[in-house]
Amino acid sequence: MGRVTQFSYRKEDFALFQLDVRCKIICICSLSVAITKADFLHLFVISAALLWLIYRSNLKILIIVKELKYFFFMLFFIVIVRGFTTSGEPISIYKEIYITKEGIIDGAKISWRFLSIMFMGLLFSCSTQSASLKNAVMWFLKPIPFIPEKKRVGVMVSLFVRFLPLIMDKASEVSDAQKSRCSHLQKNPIKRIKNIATPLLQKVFHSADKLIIAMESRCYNANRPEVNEHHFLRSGYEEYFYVGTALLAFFTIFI
Amino acid sequence: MRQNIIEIKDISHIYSTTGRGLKNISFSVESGEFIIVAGKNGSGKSTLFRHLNGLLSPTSGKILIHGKDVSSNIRYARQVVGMIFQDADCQIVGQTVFEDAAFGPENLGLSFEEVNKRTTKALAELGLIHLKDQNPATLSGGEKRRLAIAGVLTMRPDVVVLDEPFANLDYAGTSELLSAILWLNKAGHTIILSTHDIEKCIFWASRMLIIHEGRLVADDKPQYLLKDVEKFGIREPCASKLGMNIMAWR
Ligand SMILES: Nc1ncnc2c1ncn2[C@@H]1O[C@H](COP(=O)(O)OP(=O)(O)OP(=O)(O)O)[C@@H](O)[C@H]1O
Ligand SMILES: [Mg+2]
Repeated sequence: MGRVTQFSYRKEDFALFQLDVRCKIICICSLSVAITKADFLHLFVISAALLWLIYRSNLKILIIVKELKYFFFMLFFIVIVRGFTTSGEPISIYKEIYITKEGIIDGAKISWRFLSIMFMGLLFSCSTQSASLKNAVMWFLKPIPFIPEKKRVGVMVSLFVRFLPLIMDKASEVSDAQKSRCSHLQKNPIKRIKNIATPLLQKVFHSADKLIIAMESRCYNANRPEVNEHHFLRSGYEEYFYVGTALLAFFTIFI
Repeated sequence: MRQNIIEIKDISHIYSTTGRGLKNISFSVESGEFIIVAGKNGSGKSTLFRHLNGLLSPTSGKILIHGKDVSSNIRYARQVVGMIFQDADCQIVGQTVFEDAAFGPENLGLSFEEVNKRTTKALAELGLIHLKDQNPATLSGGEKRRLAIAGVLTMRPDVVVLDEPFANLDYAGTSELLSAILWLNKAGHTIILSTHDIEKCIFWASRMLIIHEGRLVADDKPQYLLKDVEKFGIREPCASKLGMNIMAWR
């Protein structure tokens, strides 16, 4: 049965959820750029701000950690790889195997940056309806020449975010079904990935097929007339978010 | 005389990959009927239904809706014939209950006010209005089915086609869905419903079709077919087995 992940859209009574989508996109883009230059102090401040938003959005940190556990493995992996490959002061971890302190610090910084960006993505996807995202994409593309089918791009982007929760949902379903048949005893990681990926892809394509048939049967086409095409609802909180983002970005880049 | 909404003229549809499908099916549907299409798994019920609104086209034969050929009036067919699919999860398109129910009329290009009006009305009629801001994935199985019905009602269809609507529903879910379907029929919608378990709705059905291995093998009032159904892998209702009259399922 369909489960709701922390990434799924929900309706909450909090400014972030009423924000003009364009404002959200601008804030995310500028913060993402700033984060590429962020050091530990900056990351700490940015993460604190994001965690506050996550808390106010009624997202559950523990569940997020659970849903993103493979992502955390990847972050850990980055730290390890950096530890091995960066030159610097060696620390022995086991007999003849050395990693470097500089590598670990560097890896931790990179992982933390990834994590902050993931948190922004999470906040965005749980607070944004795909229809308004589509409108925003079309709005941003409007001044750009040479893209003849802006509507189509908008539809693609919004379909893509619509499918993400579906994929996450199917992935957990497949992995649960396999766990209950003791898949965790399989030691070979390649086999494990293959066992999950094959049915997952099949399932995703199959459900995508069904979803498309169901949409078609309700007269869907890419050129569907938009009901609130040019209505971007302003919540009145946009200025606060612009100012907050600008401060954070300035602090990160120049201080 | 009542007027024919749907006329199916000798359609066949063979899937090239499996060689199975539909073979030479003909029947017509009058306005206001409540039709059960019965048949065991793989008999071709879903394939038949997908022809009714042009999701599949027959390899031979013709389907007319209000006298218009479906294959050249697809949009019209999809508006007149609302379709509820077997898999409740895969037909949810919107991210909130309201958005999902509004999907069809938005596609039809209706005005903002009209979409809102129709959606609110349909959600209220199916008892879902208090859930309108929820994510559809959080609904129960019965609520999802009713949402799917609301989603086609907003397009003002004449015919509502339901593919295995009772699959996976518990007792309460089933009886709520059943009363919704009966209410639809009373409100003037023609109902076509497929099932392999005829017990639940046979009392109300005005007609039953039996599909077997892609062929239409029986088409009559349900009470005349009861003794034959088991030949085609469909369970005979208990009451009939015991020699009693069929009663309303509840
Ligand atoms: N896309 C397809 N490609 C090839 N064969 C198919 C396809 N879809 C269905 N079939 C075959 O056509 C036959 C009829 O399938 P259909 O889904 O219409 O049956 P059904 O009566 O709806 O069954 P169920 O009760 O299981 O839903 C089956 O034998 C099936 O294997
Ligand atoms: Mg079927």
